[in-house]
Amino acid sequence: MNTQMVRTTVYLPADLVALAKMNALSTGNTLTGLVKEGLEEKLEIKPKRKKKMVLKTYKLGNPNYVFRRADAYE
Amino acid sequence: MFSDGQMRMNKKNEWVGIDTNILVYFLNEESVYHTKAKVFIDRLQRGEIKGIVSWQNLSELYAIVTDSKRFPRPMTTKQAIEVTKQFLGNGSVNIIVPVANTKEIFFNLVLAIKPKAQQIHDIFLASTLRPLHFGHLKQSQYPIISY
Repeated sequence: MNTQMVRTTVYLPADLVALAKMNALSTGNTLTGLVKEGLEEKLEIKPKRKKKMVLKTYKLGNPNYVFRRADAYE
Repeated sequence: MFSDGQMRMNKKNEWVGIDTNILVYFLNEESVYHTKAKVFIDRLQRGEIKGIVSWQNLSELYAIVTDSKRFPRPMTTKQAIEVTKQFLGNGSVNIIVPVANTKEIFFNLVLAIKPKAQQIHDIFLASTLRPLHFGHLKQSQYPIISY
């Protein structure tokens, strides 16, 4: 594939662009990178690479604790 | 967790707003709600659904899980940051921030609902999520915001 970069214009919903920019910022990516990855994935140019989310859990105690938002602001 | 005890799954390829309670219950494996929260988080981990959180959710999570008034064995700062990074790390969860029309939504919701005192934080969260159509405000004590 020719990997030369070209400038193009697409029309997207403003909210989608805002969300994409936020995602790019939070993941150290760029909007261009995100669009490129999305197109590559959609067009199956590259195999989907996805890190598995691994989350630790903890034994914090107080099993009956029910979250109230106000608790976070006391 | 869910007002009627039901797990709400969005249509395929839609984003689901994840409220703080889900994360708190998931992280505390001793919580009586842990199993229910885990079902949801497992779907995120498998990439079956994608989630949205606000910075408000993440700061609330930190405030709760590191608070010795809430838990006898609270998480340390390092643990809380590590788990938050893991949560955001694989692209299954995105952060949403207030946008230009959040202000109007916020004022409209406040006038319509007339929250008292700290209920305002629920309104702010709903205002943040609403512009992108991730959900509607559910008038329940522990809402998950989703369509």
